[in-house]
Amino acid sequence: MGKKLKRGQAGNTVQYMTRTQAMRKLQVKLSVFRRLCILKGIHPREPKKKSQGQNKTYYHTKDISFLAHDPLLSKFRDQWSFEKKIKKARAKKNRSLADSLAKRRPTYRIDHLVKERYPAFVDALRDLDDPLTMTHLFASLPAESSHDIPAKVVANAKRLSMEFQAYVVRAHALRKVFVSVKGFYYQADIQGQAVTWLVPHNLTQVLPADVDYRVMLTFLEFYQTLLQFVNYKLYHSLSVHYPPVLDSKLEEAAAGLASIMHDIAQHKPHKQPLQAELTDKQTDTQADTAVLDLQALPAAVQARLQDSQAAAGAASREEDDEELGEIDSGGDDSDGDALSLQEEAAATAAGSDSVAGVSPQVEAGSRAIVAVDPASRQASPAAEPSHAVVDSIAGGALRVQDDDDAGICERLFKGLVFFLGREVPREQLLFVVRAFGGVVAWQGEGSPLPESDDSITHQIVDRPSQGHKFLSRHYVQPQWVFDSANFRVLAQPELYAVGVVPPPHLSPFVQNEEEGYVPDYLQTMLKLQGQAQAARKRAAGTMDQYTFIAEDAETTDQAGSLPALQPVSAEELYKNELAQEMQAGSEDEELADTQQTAAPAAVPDLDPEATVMMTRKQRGLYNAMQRGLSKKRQRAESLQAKAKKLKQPS
Amino acid sequence: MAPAKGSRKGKKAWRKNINTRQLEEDVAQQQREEQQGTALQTLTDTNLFFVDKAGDEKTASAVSKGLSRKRKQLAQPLRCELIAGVHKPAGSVSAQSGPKARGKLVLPHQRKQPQVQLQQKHQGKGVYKLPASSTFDLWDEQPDTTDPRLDRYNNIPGAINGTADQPSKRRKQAVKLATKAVVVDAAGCSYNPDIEHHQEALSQAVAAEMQKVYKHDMQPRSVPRFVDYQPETDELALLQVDAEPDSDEDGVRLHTAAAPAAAFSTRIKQTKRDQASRMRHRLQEVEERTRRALKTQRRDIDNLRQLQLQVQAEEAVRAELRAAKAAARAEKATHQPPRLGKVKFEAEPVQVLLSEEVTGSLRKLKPTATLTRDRFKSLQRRGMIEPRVAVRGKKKPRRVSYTQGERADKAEVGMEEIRAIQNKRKGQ
Repeated sequence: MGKKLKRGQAGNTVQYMTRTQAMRKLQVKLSVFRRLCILKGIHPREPKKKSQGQNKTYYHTKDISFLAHDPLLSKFRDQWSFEKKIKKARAKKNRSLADSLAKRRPTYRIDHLVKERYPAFVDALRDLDDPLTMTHLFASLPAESSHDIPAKVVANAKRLSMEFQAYVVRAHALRKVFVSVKGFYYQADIQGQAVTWLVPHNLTQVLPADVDYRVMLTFLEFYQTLLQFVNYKLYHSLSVHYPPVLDSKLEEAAAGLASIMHDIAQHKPHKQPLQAELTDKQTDTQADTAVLDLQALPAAVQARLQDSQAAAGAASREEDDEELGEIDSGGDDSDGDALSLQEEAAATAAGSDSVAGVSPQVEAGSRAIVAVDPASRQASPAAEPSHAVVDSIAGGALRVQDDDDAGICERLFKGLVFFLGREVPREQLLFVVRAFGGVVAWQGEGSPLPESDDSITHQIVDRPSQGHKFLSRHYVQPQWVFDSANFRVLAQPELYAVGVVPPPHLSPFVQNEEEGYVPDYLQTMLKLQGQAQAARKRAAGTMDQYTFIAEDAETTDQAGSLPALQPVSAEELYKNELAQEMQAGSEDEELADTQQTAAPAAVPDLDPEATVMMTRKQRGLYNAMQRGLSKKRQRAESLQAKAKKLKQPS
Repeated sequence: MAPAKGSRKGKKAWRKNINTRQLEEDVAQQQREEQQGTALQTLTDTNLFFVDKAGDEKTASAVSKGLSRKRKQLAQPLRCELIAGVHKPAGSVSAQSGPKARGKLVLPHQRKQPQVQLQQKHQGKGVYKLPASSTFDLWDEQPDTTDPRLDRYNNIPGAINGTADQPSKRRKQAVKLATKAVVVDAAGCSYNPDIEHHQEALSQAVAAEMQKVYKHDMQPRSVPRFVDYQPETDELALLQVDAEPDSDEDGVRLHTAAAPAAAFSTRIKQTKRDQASRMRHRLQEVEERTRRALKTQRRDIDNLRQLQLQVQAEEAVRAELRAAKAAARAEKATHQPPRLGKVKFEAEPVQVLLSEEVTGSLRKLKPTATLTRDRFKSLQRRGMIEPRVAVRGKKKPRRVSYTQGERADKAEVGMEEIRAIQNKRKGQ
């Protein structure tokens, strides 16, 4: 017989301790314990047997001893004792001593905790959702004294969120946007990791009383430290210095993202002196007006600038000319931002890591791709006039490989210039448009283009009616930008016209294949997507008519061979599958009356031999699965039937 | 000491007998010291003292040993310091001491960062002031080839929670919940949703609300503290008062009066004989039971196989039940966080627009304004903090301002009113 076990010597009793026990062991008060737990990433657990009572919070004993060994604990104790000194001095009315002590409060750093919790950078990226959401939320909060939210923290949150957004724009990493009641859901692809975050709408947030803001602020403290390091790493992965230098005038104009972007965009050393010169001239000529960008400069200054560029080098002037031809038909001005964005795109296309000292030859070469674009646009209508419309659907991403999602995202809005009305959420639209390669101007201070500029292709308006309209541009609602970005095509602007109720804004986060129900508008968008794909394929087919200097030999080979290898487009394949499913569905409806339990039989690829070989348990599971699937299918069918019925009378 | 007592003949005889020996000795001593050069008062400090550079060898060596041990201890980094690479070996003393320790780990974070210089270069008017130490590469991915003790993340193996490929065994990790930090709303929660999606989201929201209502309805009603009752209008009470006794009721009453007597009589007194027979019966019953048990046992031994099958079937049923329970638990865990404290977690309601609120315009949208609560609930849902009832802060006592003579004025006004009423009455 084994040794007799005593009660309370092993098992859950020893492995877990209540919060009070833990606090006694660490000799700290509750607030400090909470802070410590949050910063260290120690959370309460639910033991199988709650030995000390049901209504208690339990911690793992080893977690607590892990806490006990952190130097932060002693730092907190130091702070506590220091606070007592200050309090004592205050009580003795020794104000000078109290003040001098308050200035010397012991501080602490939590860098080591970031490293400890996220040993590798990938780990940090994987866990970035919550930090980003929290930071964006606090960036929009009022710094309220009633909840002790310091203004400094809010400002820091604003800065960090802006910096991150600027990175996403610069890296063209944005993939999905969804505007819900809560706010804007974004998903970006950062170094292979899908990072999702939520940005609240531009309205003041209510601060409910049942939220513990001290807990939230402690989380935020850790998240801000984490985000700082992540931003640093991300910026350096682009060879951009961190922290970015803000354009103070843009910042004053509350241009937010634009002010950071201004810096990041012009990271190349040979551009910097030029920019400095530019700003000098600007201050000379227009001291009182807060005009910031090259675009808004008077013609005389622009002429001078062009002179200076000419002096800088013939090669660079050529580049600029090419860009001018690409960006706008007017050709009267050269947008500083657009210019730099083009450079970015070109640099990435060339495959170089856009190191500070990129040789001008390489850049010139890479720019040649961009230069070909308009030529091809002119050439294609001559061959097939109907293709021109189709090509325009693909946006700026016409020349991109079909399977290169990143490339498509990078260039979707390329060559388009957007003007934002003052009633639309500027920050969000600026972010999305620029992340997808477009150029943005807005109403108000700091805008690179005035409203009357000819180069503007789309004006984003959210009002019942628009008074004066330029015929050269489309007037669309903000949703056009989001839908176009989600489906990687330029949606029909007529559907999003001023004063019209736009088509439904569909969530890109829903897996349509799994859902079963396909809304009408999704189908039309998918059709457009298919057309864009076809256009891209066609463009790839005609690609070898032109000479590309910087294009990799590998990719051109692929482009040439692609149409031959895959004659069936993804869209056709999808249609076929849809048709098959519809068939299966109609059969189901017919059989539904006679065979209620024939759900597994309706599945086309059901192998009877497979089910024979299954154990009873597995078969049960399989059947359950099939039942669930059929239920989903039936629901989708009923919805479709309903939609059909609704359509018929009208 | 007083001089020895001598003769006191004559008025000033004591003068003759003064003992000058002490004085003479002192003078002699002084002379001697001056001659020898040992007059301490006259000597300067430098002549008096000297710096003992030779010292006690034994003590000195012991002290130095102790110091070096302490220095070593200080030089040995803490684990957390190694993780963050923030260890600085104790001050200048260790820096001076001897040749560099061969075994000391130099982590990548301890090396000078070129980026810091870069940042300082760009420090202009518009630069945010950052703590300099926050702007360095925390995850230096370059594997340190110089020190074989570091892994490819430049961490000491086993020093921290573990790497992505190899979680450490040091601490039992909590079970990671499947819930994501940011759960994207359903398609129906869009600001301009598709009708079907919107209906679905609405139905979810309505279902959640109705659940609450049903739950409330199901709860037992508390007994009311006060009931509206007036004995004058209570019919039952009136009937009881007015009812006249009739013959039937008399019979009933008689019967009930007899009942206690009958109850008394039914209790039969047991004799000793009865008790003995009962005991006998009981013994017999026990015997019979054992006999029957033996009989069934003999029969069971014969059909053991069948029994085994039976047991197996029972166990199978039990296992199935257990599996079902586990599945239910797992299913519950997907939408309900672990119970971490006294209070149960309550999810936020689905944030969806009402049908009349759907306008299709982003400008006219009425967004959720309580995102802080949403985030807070998200933390609770992921089991990071325990759900709890918000503690209402202490209410500040109402500050009453006192103005001189205000109370008297008020009283005067009141009196005026009373007087006015009285006058009115008198007038009537």
